[in-house]
Amino acid sequence: MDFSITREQKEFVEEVKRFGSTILNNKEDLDKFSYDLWMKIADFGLLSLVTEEKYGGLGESYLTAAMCIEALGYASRNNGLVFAINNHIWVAQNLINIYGSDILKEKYLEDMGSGKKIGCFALTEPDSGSDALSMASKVHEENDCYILTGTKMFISNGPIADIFMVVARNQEDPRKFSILVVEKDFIGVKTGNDIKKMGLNSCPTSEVVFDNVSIPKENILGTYGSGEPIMNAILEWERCYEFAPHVGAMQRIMEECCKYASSREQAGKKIIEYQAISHKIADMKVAVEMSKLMLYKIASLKDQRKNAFLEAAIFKLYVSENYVKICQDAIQIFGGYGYCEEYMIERELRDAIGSTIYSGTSEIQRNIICNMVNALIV
Amino acid sequence: MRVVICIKPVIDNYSTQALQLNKKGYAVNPYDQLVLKQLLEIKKKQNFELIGLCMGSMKCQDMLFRLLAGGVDSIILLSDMAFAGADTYATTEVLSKALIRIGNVDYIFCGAKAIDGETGQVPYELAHRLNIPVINNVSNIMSMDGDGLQLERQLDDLVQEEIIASPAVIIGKHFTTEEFTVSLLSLKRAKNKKMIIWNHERLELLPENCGIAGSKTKVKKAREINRFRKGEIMKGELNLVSQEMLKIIKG
Amino acid sequence: MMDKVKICVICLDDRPWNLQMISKAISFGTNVTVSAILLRSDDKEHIDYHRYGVSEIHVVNISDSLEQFALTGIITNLNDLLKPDLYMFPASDQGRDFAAEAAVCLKCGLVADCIDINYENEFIFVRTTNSDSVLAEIVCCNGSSAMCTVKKNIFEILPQQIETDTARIHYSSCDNRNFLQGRQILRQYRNTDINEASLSEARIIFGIGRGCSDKIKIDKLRKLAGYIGAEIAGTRAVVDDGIINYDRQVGQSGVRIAPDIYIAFGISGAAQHVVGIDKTKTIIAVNRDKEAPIFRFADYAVIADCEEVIDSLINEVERGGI
Repeated sequence: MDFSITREQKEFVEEVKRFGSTILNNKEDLDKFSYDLWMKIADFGLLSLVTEEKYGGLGESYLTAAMCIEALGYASRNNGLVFAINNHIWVAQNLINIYGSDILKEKYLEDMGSGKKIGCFALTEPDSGSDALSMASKVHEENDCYILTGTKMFISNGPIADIFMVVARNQEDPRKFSILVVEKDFIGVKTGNDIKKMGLNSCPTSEVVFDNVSIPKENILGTYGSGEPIMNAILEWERCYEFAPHVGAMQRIMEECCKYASSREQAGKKIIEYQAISHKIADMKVAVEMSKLMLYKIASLKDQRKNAFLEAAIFKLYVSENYVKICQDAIQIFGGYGYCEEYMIERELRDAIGSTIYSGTSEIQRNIICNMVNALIV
Repeated sequence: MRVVICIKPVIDNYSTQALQLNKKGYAVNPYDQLVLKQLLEIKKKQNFELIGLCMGSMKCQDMLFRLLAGGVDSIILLSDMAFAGADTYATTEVLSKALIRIGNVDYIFCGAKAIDGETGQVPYELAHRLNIPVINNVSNIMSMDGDGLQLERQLDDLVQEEIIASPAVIIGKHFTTEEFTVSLLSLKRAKNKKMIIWNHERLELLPENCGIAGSKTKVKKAREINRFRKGEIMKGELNLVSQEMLKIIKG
Repeated sequence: MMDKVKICVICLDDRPWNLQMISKAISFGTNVTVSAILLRSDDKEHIDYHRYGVSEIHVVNISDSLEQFALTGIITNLNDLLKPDLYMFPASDQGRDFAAEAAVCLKCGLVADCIDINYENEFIFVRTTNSDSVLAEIVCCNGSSAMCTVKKNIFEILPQQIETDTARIHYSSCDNRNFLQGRQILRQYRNTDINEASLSEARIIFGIGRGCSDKIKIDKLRKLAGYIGAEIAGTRAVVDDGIINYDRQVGQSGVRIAPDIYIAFGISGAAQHVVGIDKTKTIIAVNRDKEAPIFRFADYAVIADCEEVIDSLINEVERGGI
C-alpha cells in the first residue's frame, strides 16, 4: 500500500492552502454568505474538481479531491463557507455527475461548476430527522411530469440554492422514494428566511416549501422509485466529504494550540511543558492522523467505484466527536482568552458542534456501525 | 516578440500565506512581481512570448512553477552551486550570458531593486553588458503590439508616455506585495510548459567568473538595526483613549 | 596614516550633491588627490570645484537628451590617465546608470547607495539593506578601482579652501551615440495632483492602510484630519487600490517622512512601509488585529476598530476642541 502523495496532488494541495488562507480568511466574511467569494472559489476551480472535462471540470480523482477539501478546511477559518461548498459539490453537483442522465448533466453541470448555479440536498423535514424514511413529502406522476408537495427543514444552502435535490415518497407506492431535481424558479418553490444557528452562519440554512411543484420527467436522479439506494449513497458521500475539511480544521486548531502553549508562560514554564497540556495536544495529533488515513481510504474506495458505507459511518462518527473534543480542549488550553470572541477559538467550537448532528447523528452512526458489523458476523 | 522578465527570489516572510500558515519559502521580489503582473495583464489581450529568467537555487522551482500557471510561457532557472553569493557584477555576468543564449530577445524587464539587497544596479549593469538602452522609472506597461512597446514613465511630477524600440532593458518603478491567484486548471495545464535549468557549463562560464568567486565586492560585516519601539498599549474606554491620543498629538 | 590615494568624483547636474561628494573625498586627508569628471548638458556653470579642493577637472559636454553610453568613450581614457583608487557617483538614476557603465567597462566592483565611507588600507563602504533593517560594511575587490554611488545629503559640504589656481581644467565633448532613435515620446504631462512638499513639512500625518480603506472610513478620516491639521498618506496597497495618489505613498518606493506624530490606521506594518516612517518622533498605531506587526514599530498601540477610534476622536474634538 503506497501512502505517498503524487507531485500533482501536492501542487494542488499547496495551491488550495494558499487560496484558502489568502482569500477565504477575512474576518468580515465569517458570518454571512458572500456571492463574491463564491465566484472566486468557482474561478479557482474548487467547484469543478471531479466533474468530467467535457462539462468544464478538472476530472480529478476522488482521492485528490479529498486532499484538496481537507486542505481547504485547514487553510480557511470560514467553516460555514467551506460547509456550503461541500454541500454544493458532494450532495448536489456530484449526484448529477453520478446518477444524472446525460440530459441533466448537459443542463446543470457546467453552471454548477462555474458558480452560476448553487445546489443543495433536501432530505430532512420538521418531523423527520433521524427517522428520515418517515418523511411526509410526496410525489406522484401526472401526465408528463412529476408533482411534488412537502416541506423540508434545515436545508443547508437553502436560501441561496438554484437547484434542490429533493427526496420524496412516491404516492403510488409509499415504500418507495424518488429524488427529484427541482429548480428554484419552478412554480411553487418557496424558501424561508435564513435560520440563525449556533455556528456555521456563513452557510445559509432555511426551510423550503414545495407546493404542488410541477417537475419535468427528465429531472430525476436514477428512476422513479429508486430513491432509497441513491439516498444511502448520498449519505455516504456526505459523511466522507463534509467531514474531510473538519480533518483539516482539527489540524489547524491543534497547530494554534501548539503555538499558543509554546509561548504562554505560567509559573516559570511554557504551558506546553506541563503534561496536562501536552497530552491534550498529543491526543489531537493522534485524532488528526487517524482521520486522514480513513479519509484517504474512503476516497480510494470511491475511486475504485466500491461501497464505503460502513467506512463513511465510522469516519463521520470518529471525526465529528474528535472535532468537538479538540475544540473544547483548545478553549481549555487558551483559558480565559479561549472563552473570548476575539481569539476566534470559541467560534471553532460553535462551528464544530453541528458536526455530531448533521449527516446523521452520532447515535445513528453507532446504530449503523453495529448493525453492519453484526450483519457481517452473523 | 520575445520578452524576458528577470525574477529574483526573495525570502517570503511577508505574504499572507507565510504569516497565516507559517510557510517558509520563496516569493518573487515585489518589484519584479509588479512588472510580472503588468505583463501578464497585457498578455491576456496581446500576443508575445514571455520567458521568466531566474538565478536561484533549485528550491525556487515551486515558486517558478506557479508563474507558468499564471501565464508565463516558459521558465529558465539558472541554478548552480557556483552561482551562489554573487554580487551585482557576478549576477549580471551570468544573466547576460543567459540572455545571449536565449537569443533574439526584444525586451528585458526588471524590477527597480530587490527588497533584500536593494542595490538597484543589476538592470543598469545588464544593459551595459548587452550594449542596449535602459529605460527606468516605468510605472505602467500599456501595450506590446507590432508597433513596439508602449509604456508610461513617472519622473517626479512628470508623466511620460513613450514608445520604445527593441532591444531595451525596462526598469519597473514600483512594487506590489499582493500575490496573484492561480486556478487549479491553469496549474494542471502548466505541466505542458517548460521549466529549463541551466548551470555554468551550459552558459559556457568558468566557475571563477560566477558567484562569490566572480564578485567584485565583499561584505565585511553586517548587523541588524533594530527599529522596534515601546509599543505601549493604550487601554481603557475608547473615549479616554481618544483623549490620551489628542493629548499626545497636541504635544 | 593614509597612503597616497586618488579619488575621482563624477559630477552631474546637481551642484550640492557634487560638492557633498567632493567634500567627503577631501575629508580623507592630505594624502588624497581628488579629481572630478563633470558631465554637463549646458555650459553656463562657472567651474569652481577646484576651490573645494579638486586638483584636476575634466568637463565633458554631453547632449541634452538621453545621455547613456556617454561615459564609455571618456572613462577608459581618463582611467588610464588618472588611475583613481576610488570613483564616486551620485546615487541618482543618471548616476547609477553611469556607475554601472563604468563598472562594466572597467570591470570593477560597485557599491550602491552608500551612507558612509571609511578608509582602513582599503575603502570600506557603509550601506543599508533589507528595507533599512540591516547595516552592512562592504569592500571592493578584484578590480583596478573601487566604485560607489553615494546618497544625497549624507555628507556635508565643507567650506571653500583658500583660492588656488592650481587646478587643471580640461574641456571636451562627447561623441554620444544617440539612443533617442527608437524612442518616441507620445505625450507628457505634469501630474498636478502631486504635492510631496506638504508631506515633508507636515507636523502630523495620518497613514491609511488596507484595514481603513473603504470610502466611509476615509471620509471620516479626512474630516478628522481637517480638524487636527494633519496630512494624509498611505501604504502601497492603498495606492494600488486607487484610494490615494502615489505621491502620498509612504515607504520603500515612496516618500520617507519625519513628522512629529504619525498615526497609522489599519496598517499591518510591513517592512516596506515601516522604513518610510522610521524617522517619526512618535508613532501611534491603530489596528484591531493585535498580532499586526506595526505594533512592534509603534510607540503607542491602540488595539481597536479604526472606524470606532476615528468616530471617538471626532467626537472628542467636536466636544472639547483641540
